[in-house]
Order: sequence, then C-alpha cells, then structure tokens
Amino acid sequence: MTARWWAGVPADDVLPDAHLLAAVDAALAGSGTAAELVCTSVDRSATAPRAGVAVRLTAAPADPDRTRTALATALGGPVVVDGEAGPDGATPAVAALLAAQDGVDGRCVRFPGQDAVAGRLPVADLVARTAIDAVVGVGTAVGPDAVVDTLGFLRPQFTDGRLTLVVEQAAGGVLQPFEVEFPHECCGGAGP
Amino acid sequence: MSHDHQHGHDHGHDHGHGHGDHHHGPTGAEGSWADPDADDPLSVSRRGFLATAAVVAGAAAGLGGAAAGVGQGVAAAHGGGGQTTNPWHGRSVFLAGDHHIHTQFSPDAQYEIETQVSKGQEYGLDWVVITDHGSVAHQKFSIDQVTPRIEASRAAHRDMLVFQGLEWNIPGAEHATVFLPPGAATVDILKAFEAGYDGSVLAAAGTIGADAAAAERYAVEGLKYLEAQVRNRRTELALMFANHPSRQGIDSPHEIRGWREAAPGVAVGMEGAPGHQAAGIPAAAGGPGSGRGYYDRGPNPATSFLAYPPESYRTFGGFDWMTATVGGLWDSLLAEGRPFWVTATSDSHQVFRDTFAPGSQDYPTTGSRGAPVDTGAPITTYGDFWPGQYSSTLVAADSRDYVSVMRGLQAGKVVAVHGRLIEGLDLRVRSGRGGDGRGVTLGGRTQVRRGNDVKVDVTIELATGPNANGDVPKLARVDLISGPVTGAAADRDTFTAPQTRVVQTFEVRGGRKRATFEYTFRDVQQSFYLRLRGSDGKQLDANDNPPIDVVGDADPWQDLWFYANPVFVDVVA
Repeated sequence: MTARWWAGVPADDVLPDAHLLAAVDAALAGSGTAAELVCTSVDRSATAPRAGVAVRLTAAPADPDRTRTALATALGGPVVVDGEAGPDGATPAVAALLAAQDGVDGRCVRFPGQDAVAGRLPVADLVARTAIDAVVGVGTAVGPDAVVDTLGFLRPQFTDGRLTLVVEQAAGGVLQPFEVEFPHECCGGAGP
Repeated sequence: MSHDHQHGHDHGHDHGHGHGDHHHGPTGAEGSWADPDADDPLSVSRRGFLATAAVVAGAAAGLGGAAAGVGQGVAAAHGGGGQTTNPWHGRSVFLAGDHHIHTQFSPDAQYEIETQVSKGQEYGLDWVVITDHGSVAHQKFSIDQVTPRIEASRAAHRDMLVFQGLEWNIPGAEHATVFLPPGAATVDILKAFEAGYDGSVLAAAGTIGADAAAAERYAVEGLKYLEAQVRNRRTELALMFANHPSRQGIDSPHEIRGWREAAPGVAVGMEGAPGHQAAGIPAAAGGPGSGRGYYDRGPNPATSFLAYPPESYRTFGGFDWMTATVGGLWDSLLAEGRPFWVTATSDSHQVFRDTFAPGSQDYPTTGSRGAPVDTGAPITTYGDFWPGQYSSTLVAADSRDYVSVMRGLQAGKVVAVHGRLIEGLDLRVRSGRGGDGRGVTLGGRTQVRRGNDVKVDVTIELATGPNANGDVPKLARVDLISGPVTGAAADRDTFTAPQTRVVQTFEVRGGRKRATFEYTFRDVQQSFYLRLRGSDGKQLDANDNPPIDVVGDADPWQDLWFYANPVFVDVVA
C-alpha cells in the first residue's frame, strides 16, 4: 500500500496559502485522491530557511508515479513520499513530513473539518467538529464555553503532538485567531 | 511643550563622552560612548581583554565578586572615585520630541514635511526627526527633495528643531531611526549610509538574501560606518534607535546586543512604545480595530526569533513587550550594565480619522507620492496620531539646540510618555559617606561604598492642562523597578532578568502640580540599576503590570503610561 503522507518543497511563488492549495489540488485532480491536510513548516537547519509542505491524502493515488510528477511540477520543487529517502534538495520536505506526522510542527492551511465551521462558535464545538485538538489563548485563559470568532480564517499548528489553534481576546468579549488573514502591512507590504 | 522645572539652568554636564579625551577621561560603562576603548580600531578584542582582566581584578579585590558587571569591574579596577555620568543638577529642561515620522516621501505615508512639523509644534513638540523608509527610490530620489523641505520648515519654525533622518531597514532585522544633526556632511552621510547598508537597498541589489547571519553582518557594519563618521568628525553625532522591536519578532536579543556593542555611541536605544497608537481603537468607535501599534502579527517561522513567546507580538499598555515586561528583554540588557534607552514615537503615516488620502504620484520612479488629497470624509482605517498628539519622548537637554538634544538622547536623559501623563521627571540617585553625594540623574551611573545606602529622590511634574484628547491626565501610580547588575550574559540571546522586580509602588495623590517620592536602598552590597514607570492606573493586571492590549479594543486615551530610563549604581570598596 502506498503511503498517504507526501511532502514537497514549494517554490517561493507557490508558497502563499491560496497558491499552495491551488497547486496541490491541481496536481491531485483526477488522481483518485485528495489532500485532506496541508501544512507547512520551515526548515532552518541550512543557512537560508526553506519551507516544506506536508500533505496527507485521503487515499493512495491510482498512479503514484504520475501523481508524484504532477505534484513536483505544481510545487516547483522535489516531492517525497512517506518512508522513502528524498531526492537531493528535499530536506525541507522530509522535515515537514516528519514534523506533521509527529504533530510537533506545521502550520495547517487545510485540515479536516475546516469547512464545517464558520463565524462564531464555542471552543468545544470547534474541537468537536474539526481536527483541532486544543485551543490555547495568548494573554487569556480559554474554557470550552468561550466563543471563537473564526473570521473565516483558521491556521492551527501542530505542537506537542496536538493540532492547536492559538487565539486571543478580541473586541466584544469573543476570542479570535492569533493569526489573522490580513495583518497590517508595513510599507504597503514592501517592507521586510 | 517645554517641560521646564522651576529651577534655573546654569550647569553644563560632563558625562565624559567627548571623543577627544578618551585616554584620560572618565571611564564609563563597557561598550558605552564613555568607554575609552570604543573608538579604538581594536576595540572588540581590547575590550574583551580589559573586561576579563577587570572582572578578575574586581573579584580578587573582593569588590564585585562574580556578580559584578563588566562595567563595574572596569570601574573598580581603576580604583573608583568620581566615575559618574549624568550628574544631577536639578535644573533639567525637558524638550519633547518624536524621532519617528513619515511623510509623502515614504511609499506608505502621505503628508508634506511641513504639515508634520506644524502638527508637531501644535501638539507641543520641540524637536522632530523626519524618517522616511529607506529604499532604492528613497535613496535615489527622495533625499534630495526632503533636504530643502526640511530647511524650509526650519526657517518657518524657528523654535522647532527639525532633524533629517531615515528609517533604516536594518539588514536581517526590523526598522530603526537613524539621524544626524544638521551639518555640512549630513546629507552625504545619510545617502552613503542608505546606499551601503539599507536592507531594502541591499536586497534589491541581491547583496543580501535569506541568509540571516550574512545580513546581520551588514547591520553591524552599517553602525560602524556611522560611528566612523563621528570619529572622523564628519558629523558631531549620529544616533540609531531600533523601531517597533517586537512587532515581528525579528530583532533577536543577540542582534540588539550586537548593535549596541558595534557602535556604542550610535546604537543607544529602541522604541519603548511603538507608534500607531490609534490602531487599536475599536471599529465601533470609528477606529481601525487592529492591534495597538499595528502589533497584530504572529511569529514568522522563517525569520522570527523562535524563543520569543506569542505574547511578545502584542503591546502591553501601549508599550512594546521588550520594555513593558518587568524582568524582560530591556531589563536583561540593563542587568548586564549596558546603557540602553527607550523612547516613544508616533510613527505617523496616516492619522486617525484624517480626511486626506495619499497623492497619486508614482513613488518608485519619483520618490514621492506627491501632495495628499482631501477626500472630505474621515478615513477610519488610519491608525496613527500626529507627532506629539499622543506620544512624546522627553529629553533633558542642556540647551535648545540640535546637538544638545542628541547628547541628551545619547546619555539616556529620556522619559517616554503617552498622552501627556507627566510633563517632567527629576530623578536623583545618590549616596553619602564617601560615595557620590551629589548623585546622578536619568541615564546616569553613580557609585556607593559597599554597605552604604543609596537614596532615590523623584519629583514628577504632573499634567497641568488637557492632553490632545481634552483630558487632564491623572498619574495614579509610580513603580520603582530594580535589579542587580550581574554582568554580561553568557547566552547573548538572553531576554530575561529574573531578579528584576518592582521594589516599591507609590500612590499619587491628586490635586497637586508635583508629586515627590523617596526611597532608600539600604546596606547595598551589589551593583544594581533602577528605573521608574507610572500609569493612570486604569488598566492593570492581577500583578499591577500593564495587561496585554486587546486587538481591536484598545482605547489609548484610557491607558496611559510613562517609562523613565535607568540609573546604574556601582558598588565600590
């Protein structure tokens, strides 16, 4: 049986969330499988940091070789499959795959249950309906009845073996994700 | 506003920063502008040697033991006596200013320089620094447009000091204010510095990339370049303050230490409070509803210093986490005996509820957005204040001139204030019986004989009129914070000082123009530092510290703080 965990090294222009999801989905279209979890992590072991993306598939693809080629083309970088030694330059992919599998690192751009939640809902429901294991507050305590306003943008992270959503207090007595979709861009986005 | 104390003024200070007397002048803190070796080309290795030798000597003499700071070790090795900086004279004149202001010569800002200067004056500032973003276009096209406009504003506002500066993209890190006093070479130095060391310019040329360590070296070289311009007397001074240091978690502790050490006369501090203080005003109140200070990000896994905790990306009582945390990063520097100062600025780009939008000129090809355009309606997404409207940096200057303001900043005679919470602060730290009986003030270094007492006298000039929100702010509490000076941290990425704490809180009674406090550190056995902060008392957490500012729900006028810069006390035999 072919493994369901795959990973790659996206080119810089593929790295933004929407581009990354579009690239993965396009590569998997017609392959008989889909990406149910997509999460990125950054390998800082080399001189220059490099992002890898881990993908968990719903099933093994019908033609793994063909899918591998399609994914590598879409990402613009090498692809590895769980249990295989990666090609040259695949270190960030291997690291991303292992980190996501072990639940120690990775920012999830897509995760099971993501589309089942929207708007405001209690923490308990968020955990029940999605793959998110825990909701952790910055500067505030979070109980199961606390209400999270998802703002339509959730990016939980793997840490300590759990998929964790970090939230903070927001106006109106609700919590909101610590990472928001459109933070203030300094220098009109031209800054470092 | 000029924050004159009631006293006259007749005393010139002598904190030993003159570059002509390094080899016989006073010995200052290691790595400070008063360090005799700071302008020595071999200074890094020599200082390392001297520091080691001095600590050994201090320990051998039973002076500071293992706990003595490097600076204290140097002082002790020279036998103590008379080695103070910023002597108290009780006649400080505070000049209020802002070292972080943008104009139409930034791609994300819009106002005329003259507008910013006029607004600064209207809101009581005595000095301002124009700091548009460094970039290829700014270096090529903006500077030559900025210079004559600054000169025109100087002519139009004879009682304002208008500095020309730059918001430097620190290679590998955040932004920083860099500025010089007016002089024959000022513009040439700024241009050369920006061309050679601005992170944006270097990145555009492909000189720096994702290799952070390589980029960091350019930052250090840039600061050394500025210090060399001072040493070569092309300019009397050059200063650098790190701006919004915690916003993206990319000013790592070792970088901050590295800047300070590379150019101790130039890299003297950071924004204790970032600008953009209106950014947290709730949307329901007609504000942007963002993070106060536009601190609304989280760590970037590729570039941030990963040991910084999530809360470091938010402000606390409007101040940056590095400054607002008792025993935090700022204290970790002070606990090393390192002079490092905090300020408060506007970072004014687009002002809360202003009706003007940017001009339509093409910035990349002209270096200017042109004149702003009045839309006729308040724009609710703007999160800044005018210079002086909310934030001010009070500097005790010996006289009202460019160099004196910069010397005051360099010497740490500085108080960072929000919403005109206080108008002046006289701090005197002294000891009797063979110690420093005269004492020193903000940013200073004094000494006490082991086992003697250190007396702290504080006089605060309270707000006597309304601030820009129409409120007469009421100072409610003042905290005296102190920690031992424990010497250079073994880990240069240290960002905690666990022994630093609030040693005393003073409640302020209302109905007075002036509040006075005193405190005595008794039987002092170890070198230490102390600093003051105060607030209106409206927003305190369970430990009476400033709470984290809530994103989208932070009314800056209901949460006012000031932070005063420290005094170091060396124990001598």
